[in-house]
Amino acid sequence: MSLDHRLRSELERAADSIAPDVERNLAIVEARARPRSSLGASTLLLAAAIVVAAIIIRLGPSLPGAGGPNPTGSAAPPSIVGPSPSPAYDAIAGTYTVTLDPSNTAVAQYRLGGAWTMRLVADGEIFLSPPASFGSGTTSLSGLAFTLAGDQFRNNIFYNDYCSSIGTYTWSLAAGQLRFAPVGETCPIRQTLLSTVPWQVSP
Amino acid sequence: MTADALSESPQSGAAAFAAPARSLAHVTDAPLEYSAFFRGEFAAVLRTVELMLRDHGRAEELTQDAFLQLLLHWPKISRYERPDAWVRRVAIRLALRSIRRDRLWQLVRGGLLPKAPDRPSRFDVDGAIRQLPGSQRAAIVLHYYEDRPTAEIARILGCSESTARVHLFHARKRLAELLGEDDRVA
Repeated sequence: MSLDHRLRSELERAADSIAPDVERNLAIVEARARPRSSLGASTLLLAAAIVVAAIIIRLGPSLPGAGGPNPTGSAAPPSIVGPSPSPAYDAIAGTYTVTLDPSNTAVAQYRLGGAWTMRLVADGEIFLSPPASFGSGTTSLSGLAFTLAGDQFRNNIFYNDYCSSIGTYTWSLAAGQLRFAPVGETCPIRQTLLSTVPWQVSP
Repeated sequence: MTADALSESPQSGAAAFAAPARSLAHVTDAPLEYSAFFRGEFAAVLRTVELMLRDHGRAEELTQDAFLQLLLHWPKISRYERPDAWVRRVAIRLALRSIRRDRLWQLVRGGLLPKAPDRPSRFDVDGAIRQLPGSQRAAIVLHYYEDRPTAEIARILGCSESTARVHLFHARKRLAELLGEDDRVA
């Protein structure tokens, strides 16, 4: 068989095995288009939330139940994120923590040991705070996002830094624990971070 | 990447997919024409991108990116004679950029972290094509899978026809070496 014939037949065979779920992809593209159109509203809501948080901090001692300034906690109510693409996004939105044991082989291999905090916002943003020992002391990782499709959670954590692909997981949230199980993942460092132990819902 | 960066001249009266005369900026649901176009074209574009990248998740993400650009510029692009060619070109260029970025990261971060294990090969030439630079990968896929002539490959890659021929020549030569084949044209 000539090289040309071999290349043609192998590429055709490979292409035939690619059978995407077109409807799911269409839904994802439409969902990704929505935050752009609601950016103005989200920005206004965010600004309003910051102003309210600042007022609460300033008037803290005089308000019942306001035990002291906590800008981090008060600046992240679900109401600041704007319209959600679907109820599933509302369900998963929240702050989660996990402490990875440095004595775990994979954790040690990727230097992931320590306490991680991950905030999932209903508009698909991820705010990830690594332990001080990770990387060069980065306090937060930016530009992260996720999409949900059924029970699947796709994310770009570590993309371009340590991963060259998007990771796909199934997710479940029960008894205060968020669990991820890899279904399409080629990046071991992200898999170690997300699925070694369940993430705990942070109050 | 903006729509203008990859635009074609609209062909008057030749719109294959007529779009409503309204801005998409305030639309959250795609117009019906866009949805129909998506259903007809997405799989074919994804196949080409995945053959280049050899990574289903990333190929899907980049193809979505291209179709998202199309959705955001649908009123304009849908008036082109070949909106399918536009979105295919955007997707392929995104894939090229991604391959280049990965190769650069591999150079920069080489040895910093253990290399992620490759996915099991689905066909014999898989590993060989992975060895090629992005432009050569694209040229091989466009020529051998999509059966495109070099003039069209050049237009998609944004290079001259002679450059496209050189990409194809070097890619073929390298694949012949890697696969232990005779590289004479059949």
